[in-house]
Amino acid sequence: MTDTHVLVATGMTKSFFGNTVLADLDLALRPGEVHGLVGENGAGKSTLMKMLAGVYTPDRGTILVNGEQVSYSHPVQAQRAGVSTVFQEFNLLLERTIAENIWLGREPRRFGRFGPVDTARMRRDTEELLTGLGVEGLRAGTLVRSLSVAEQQIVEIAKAVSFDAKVIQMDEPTAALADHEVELLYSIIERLTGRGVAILYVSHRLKEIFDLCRTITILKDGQHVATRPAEDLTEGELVRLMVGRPLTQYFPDKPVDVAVGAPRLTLAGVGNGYVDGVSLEVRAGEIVGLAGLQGSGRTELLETVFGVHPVARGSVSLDGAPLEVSSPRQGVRARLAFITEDRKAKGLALNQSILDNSLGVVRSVFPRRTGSARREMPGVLSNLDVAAHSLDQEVQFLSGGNQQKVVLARWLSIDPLVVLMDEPTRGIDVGAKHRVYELMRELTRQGVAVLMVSSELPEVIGMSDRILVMRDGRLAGELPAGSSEEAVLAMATGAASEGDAA
Amino acid sequence: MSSTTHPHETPEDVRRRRASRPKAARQLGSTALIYLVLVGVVVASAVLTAVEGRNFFSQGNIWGVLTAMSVLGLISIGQTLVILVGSLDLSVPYVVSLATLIAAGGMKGLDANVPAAVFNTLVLCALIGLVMGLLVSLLDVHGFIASLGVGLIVSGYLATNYQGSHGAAAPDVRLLGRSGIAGIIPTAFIILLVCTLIVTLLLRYTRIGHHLYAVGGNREVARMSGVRTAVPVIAAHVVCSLLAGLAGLMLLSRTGVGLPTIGSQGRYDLLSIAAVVLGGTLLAGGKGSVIGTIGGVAIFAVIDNVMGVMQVNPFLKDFVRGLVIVLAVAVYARRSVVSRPPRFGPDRVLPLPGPLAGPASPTDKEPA
Repeated sequence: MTDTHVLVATGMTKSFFGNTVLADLDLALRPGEVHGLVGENGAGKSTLMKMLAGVYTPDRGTILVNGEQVSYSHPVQAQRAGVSTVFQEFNLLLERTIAENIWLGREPRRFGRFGPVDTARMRRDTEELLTGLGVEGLRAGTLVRSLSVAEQQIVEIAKAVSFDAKVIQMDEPTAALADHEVELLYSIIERLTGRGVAILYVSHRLKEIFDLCRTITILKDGQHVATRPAEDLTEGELVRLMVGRPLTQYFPDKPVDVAVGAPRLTLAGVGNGYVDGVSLEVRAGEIVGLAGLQGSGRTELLETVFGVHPVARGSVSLDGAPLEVSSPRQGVRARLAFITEDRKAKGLALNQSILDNSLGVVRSVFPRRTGSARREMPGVLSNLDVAAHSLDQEVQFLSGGNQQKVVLARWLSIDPLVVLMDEPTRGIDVGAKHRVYELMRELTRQGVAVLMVSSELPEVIGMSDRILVMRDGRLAGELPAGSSEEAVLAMATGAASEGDAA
Repeated sequence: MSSTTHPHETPEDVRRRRASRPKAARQLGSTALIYLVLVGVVVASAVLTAVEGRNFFSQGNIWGVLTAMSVLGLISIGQTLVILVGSLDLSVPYVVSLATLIAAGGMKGLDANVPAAVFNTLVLCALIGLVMGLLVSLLDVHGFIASLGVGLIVSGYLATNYQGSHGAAAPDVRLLGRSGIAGIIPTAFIILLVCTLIVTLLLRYTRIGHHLYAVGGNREVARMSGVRTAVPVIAAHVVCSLLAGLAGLMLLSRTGVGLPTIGSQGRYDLLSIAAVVLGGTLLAGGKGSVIGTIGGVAIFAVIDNVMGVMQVNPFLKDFVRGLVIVLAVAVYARRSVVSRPPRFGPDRVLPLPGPLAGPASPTDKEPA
């Protein structure tokens, strides 16, 4: 099979700390083919991409490019071998021009090795690359900072092409693009495949997968599920193959004694630069799950409620009274709590102690309550089963689960009315996850309203009283508790609107 | 896609799209701005000097301003490189002092000793820069701390081994310090211009120059692109110390003797950083130019000159300098940095109207 394939990877295996994230995967790409790679979060897609890109070294497995075995330990080596990658996080220098970014590290020189950098050639080659992709209107000398996200992505693609790539991997290339920008991406991909470049296309959006891909490989929990021609699959089947795993997660039962109360947090037509026309209601004692793809605006919605982004349109009310929050400080004053998804950067001061971290919010917003909060804190922390030598330990030395519990303690100290949770169990162990779920139930018993964003579908389904699904910055719809993963995914990807979802 | 041909794009869309893109003029921004400010400062100074009954553009005054620019200018070029690469050099004043002492001690007032003395001085300075470059790039010590430490070591060495002036400059060197073109342009200033030109060309036309910007802009991106990140850091520190040494020689040509405190009295560490920032270079690195820095140095020199003519008291002088720096940085900081462009609203490059427009189009017309 190697004759007709431009890239053949066999037995690709990678584990981190004894935890196998990808086991024994085989993948083969033909020239000019768009190969879809799908799977849920944590299925091993990005691990595979990073191994092919030279970011990770595989534990086992071989990679053949054009029939020759390659092994590399640095992205540049992978690129020289013909495998380029457009990551979701762009590798661009914002203050440099398009040409300088594309040729970074291999600037062409005049008169041999010690000659000056040939800026004219850099410019010419860049224009040529962009024209070759069918892109007009981007000039080689434009600063990358002044480009839109879509344009920056084009620069990344042009850079990939400039290595004379035989294989280009694209990780969620449309996550940040508007609809009409996606079309341009399609046309660029078409040109590339026309030249015989193979594309490994990772996306959650099933419509795109079916629009573009000839072959689809499905991963699940680090295992290869199937590789099939696209025409043999329907969206419904694909979703089933992606999700169909035994449900091993466990969630505490919904307490019977909690009655859902009056509306606590109400949004009516809320919109700004990131979300639009969002109307929703979270009642006292209710957990509402907020599902959606990466980049669908879930985090931005929570941030808008909390005052990080101002509300430009529509209104928010709390317990029936209008709520105007234009900074996080005002959000806290209104007793909203926001558990961020980025615990290390935004949730904690890593080199401060557990005690200082857990008192951080009270101290800065309700200084007069610091004393009582300090007296209660040891009890709160031990109630959350925080495992630490002492309260003076720096939080950077705690495990992810214990760090998350400190974040929770920090926010419980303000007696919140509404808790906004963004990926509350990301990167924490099973035991801590369970404690977080229990805590959410305890909060509802006290009449707190919980709005939870999560990319883990079992978690959204297992914990929520209702599920709201976001797509492209708007609410796509609402699903009742206990809906199937297929239904949520279909709504989040827009497959439902095509009418052939499972 | 906003900036490419699109089957449904009308000329109106193209116009709107172009309008939504920052203008090229705004890209020129900092360098053009700094020279515009310089022209304003010169005009204001000329007026103020005239009010005092003197001529700003007199031969002697121009000579004075340009002389004042040369030493700080040379040091600031080096500081620009170090800041561009994401580091900082606080050791320059001590390196300047050391250079005057080593050179003066080596010359002993004899022309025959000049080549050896100059060579020794510059090699020593380059070595000091090499040490800092290695500390910053290989041991990951921040430039602030690395140069502070090295600066203190040099300063301690100077204080223990030299009391008062030392050695003597060779007559030829002293002559050079007084020479110039037509009594208006001092040789020292010509040296500054030549250095500016060379460093600008190096930044623009060598790989190391390109990589200097890359490492300062984002070290990880540079590394992922296959750049050896240590090389530009070390080069920037070596060149910076070398230029500080050259500045020391320049001072020696004027004073005639080596002085252990001449650098710290000149406050070249903070003034050079201020000139670099005033010239539009990002203190975090990755963006800026030597030409801008020279503009910043010129602004300081002109303001100092006019305050000298007006016999402003020293405290007020520092007050004005401080004000200039803070205002300049406040102006630069106003260029907002948007990390994640909004999906809805007019800030976004406009989606197309018509049947293909995404769901975002209705809101785009609303003022948000």
